[in-house]
Amino acid sequence: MNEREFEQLSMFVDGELEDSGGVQSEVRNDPVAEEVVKKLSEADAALMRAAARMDETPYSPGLEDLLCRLVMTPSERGKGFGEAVQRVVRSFLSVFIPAAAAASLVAAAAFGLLSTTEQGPSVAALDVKLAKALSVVGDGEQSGQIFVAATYRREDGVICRTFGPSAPRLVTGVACRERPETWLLIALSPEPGADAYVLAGGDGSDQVAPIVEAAISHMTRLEPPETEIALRR
Amino acid sequence: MRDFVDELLATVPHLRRFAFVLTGDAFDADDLVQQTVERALTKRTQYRSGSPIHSWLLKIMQNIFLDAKRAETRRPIHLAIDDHDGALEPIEAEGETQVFAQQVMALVAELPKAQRLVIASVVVDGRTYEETAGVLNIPIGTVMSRMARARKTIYTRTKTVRSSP
Repeated sequence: MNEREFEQLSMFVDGELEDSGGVQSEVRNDPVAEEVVKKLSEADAALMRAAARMDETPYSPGLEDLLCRLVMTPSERGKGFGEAVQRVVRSFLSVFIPAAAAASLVAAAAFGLLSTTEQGPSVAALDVKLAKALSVVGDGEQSGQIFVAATYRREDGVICRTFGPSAPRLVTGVACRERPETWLLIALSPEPGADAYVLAGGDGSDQVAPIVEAAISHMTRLEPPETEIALRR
Repeated sequence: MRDFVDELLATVPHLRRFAFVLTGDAFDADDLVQQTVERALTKRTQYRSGSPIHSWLLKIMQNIFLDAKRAETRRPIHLAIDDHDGALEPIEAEGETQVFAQQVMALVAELPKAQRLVIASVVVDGRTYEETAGVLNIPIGTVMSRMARARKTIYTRTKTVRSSP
């Protein structure tokens, strides 16, 4: 196959041929051309998959610091980190926490259900991306906009995890796994103070919002190897 | 200013994927994104509100990437097929598919920079040849030939790797 023919097939794969009929027919009738198109398409798909892995890769410290500074508005800079943090949290919750789940949780907290049962009400399942992240991401790691801080085991053996937005890394909630990939929200801290959070570099275990702290207070913190085993079950 | 920053922040995941294809290394990719964001902030008055910020940021990234000769000399890319230092670890469950993805990434990392930019724009960002020509400021014929050359290299090398024992 000469350079021109290969270029035509390359353009065909990209949908760049104005009149692709001839090439389409060639691809159907010529096994070599068919194989080339197949391999080029496979390589494209592989490259897209490889690039998408960056979504699951933690930000470098330098980039993370820069983004943290950027999330602060000019007026927030004068007041400290608190307002910027709260805005990030509100934005995160609006994307990843279904309104029904949050409302139901707040209602349960108002009636004292959380403190007596340690388990939230039957709220809607969490956002698919958040549930997926809770199911696969390691402690102290992130997947896209989601940061998973730590893993705990409740007295009844159920696995629970603390989570929040990834830039900056904050702890805003606790969810427990009802069954594989179905997580129940049991604590949420939508309007916390700035000092209630763990920033980049923390693992989510030393400073958490009081409501989150209360939710995990009777749980046992799992070490990473235990977490891996527990998540596979 | 807030809108500009919000738009810029929303583009960061996209920039990271693009930069990863250019550099072949997660850390270098973030370094390139960081430089791009910093330069964008200093040049924000040059950005025309309402125009696609992503294309504007890619032009900045392209300039930084092409100018980074010194850095590349200092720390060359070592992404041979059998040596994935600096690349991402494969996900066990995805097995062979992920290994193939890493092989393709390694081959892209060995392409000339100009070809990497074109393949990242067309394949990863999904731009047409015309759009790519506009963003990279090159003739559309150059986009075609660079795409074909890049693909030929990848095709030939993956064929060799897969058919070798």
